[in-house]
Amino acid sequence: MGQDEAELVDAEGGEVTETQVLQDDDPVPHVEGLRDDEGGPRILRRVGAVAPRVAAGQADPLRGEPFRELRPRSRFAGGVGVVVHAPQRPPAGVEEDGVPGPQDRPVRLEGRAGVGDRDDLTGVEPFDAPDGRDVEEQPAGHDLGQGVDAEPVRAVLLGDVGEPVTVVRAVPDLQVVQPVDVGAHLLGGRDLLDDPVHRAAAEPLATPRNTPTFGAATTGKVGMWIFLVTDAMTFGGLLLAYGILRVGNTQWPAPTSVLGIPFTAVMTFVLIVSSLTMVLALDAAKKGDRLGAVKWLLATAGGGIFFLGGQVYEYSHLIRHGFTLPSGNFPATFYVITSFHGGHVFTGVCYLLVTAFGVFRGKHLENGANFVEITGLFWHFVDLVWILVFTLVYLIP
Amino acid sequence: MTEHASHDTPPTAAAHTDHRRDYFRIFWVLLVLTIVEVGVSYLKIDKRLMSVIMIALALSKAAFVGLYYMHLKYEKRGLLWLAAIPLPLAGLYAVVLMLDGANLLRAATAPWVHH
Repeated sequence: MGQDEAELVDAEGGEVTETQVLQDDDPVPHVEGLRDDEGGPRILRRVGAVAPRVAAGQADPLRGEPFRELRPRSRFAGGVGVVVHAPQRPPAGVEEDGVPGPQDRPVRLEGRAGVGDRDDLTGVEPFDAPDGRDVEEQPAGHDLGQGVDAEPVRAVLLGDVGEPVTVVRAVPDLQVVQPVDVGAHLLGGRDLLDDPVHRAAAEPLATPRNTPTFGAATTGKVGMWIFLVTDAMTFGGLLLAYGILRVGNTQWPAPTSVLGIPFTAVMTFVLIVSSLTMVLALDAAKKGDRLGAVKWLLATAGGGIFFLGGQVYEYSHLIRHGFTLPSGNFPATFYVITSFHGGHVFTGVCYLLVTAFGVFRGKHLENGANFVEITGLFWHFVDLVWILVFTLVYLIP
Repeated sequence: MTEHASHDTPPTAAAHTDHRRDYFRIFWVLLVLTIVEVGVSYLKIDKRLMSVIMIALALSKAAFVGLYYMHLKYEKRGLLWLAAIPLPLAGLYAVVLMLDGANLLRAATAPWVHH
């Protein structure tokens, strides 16, 4: 028997007839609804208040301490205080059951804690103080706030909250005949007592995998896009130099007479296929299909490696035929542009392999596979640039 | 482009299937456009006309990749602008410089220029 319990028994001079522990599993299924609802924090505060920074033995009505032991000093010292002076019996005309609002008498929570559950709130019954027997007892050291701290994160983020709970709307119906003095108000509206609840709701630890991130411009995505725009400027500059040199030169050879179009068309096809496998990898990652995502990422990287191999073959073939870098404006621009793109393909292959390795180890699937999507942005950009290079450098007569 | 309602709703298997179908559809579009492009390059038509056709095909392919594979179609509009605004500026720059190059060439090869 814990110290609190012993004190309680001493104080009441009898035995605790009913010992009930608030269950922690699935404690607060509707925290989000409560937060949105005015007055909700009151209820949360009632539970959250006892969660942190409350040493064992501090007066706490929810833990079943005798009512008469409640004194203001204990509330101020520990930062806990919801219950103060109040009529022990509800005044006439006030509904005794199911009032979840700022009632100031100790309550007995039955069954699950169910802070936000409308049904459970019917189980909130006034505790008859003089009787003192039907006191809910918690084992010493039991933290009533645990339920609020731990699981609500998941409960909120899964989005299974449903429609906002209307529990707190019962508050306006409450006829407060006598002024009540709620201690927590003395500490301010958003005092330390509120911390656990607010923190749980404000900082999502992880978004479920299936949350679509399209439409949610994450910082990583915006960063990658800004990089891609600047990178596009570099490519634009190179292509521009190519265009200017070409327009200003009447002796420019027809690219089709020098470059192998069918071969490059196959390389282009491979790059387009790798873009498809990239989005399939993202799709798998968004579904949480780890191995599927790894498979498609590796396929994408394979496409990039194939492309690089093709480029090496192409270069060696062209160089053997005297189409070397210093042999003219066309080869110079051709090699600079295609090798700069090839560098991007190489970078993309490394990026893909690193991402694939991370996914294989179970990373990168959170936040709607945002990391995989950013990797994909880079890879699609490489594909997109090749589409333009292929047309402008290889095909245009 | 408006905000996609389907992305405000919780993700479902159907939404994923839709994306997959889009991905494959875009793949076939890109493939066909590439084949058309290569085919056009073998045609004996006016070079300028061919260039215009080629560039139009290439830009449409790039747009498909950007809109669907890079999901710009489904993103917040600001991201689309971020990507879209610099492109016409770069295009304008390119046109101006190429016209300038062409003028230099014309000046250099004009009959009244003494070599």
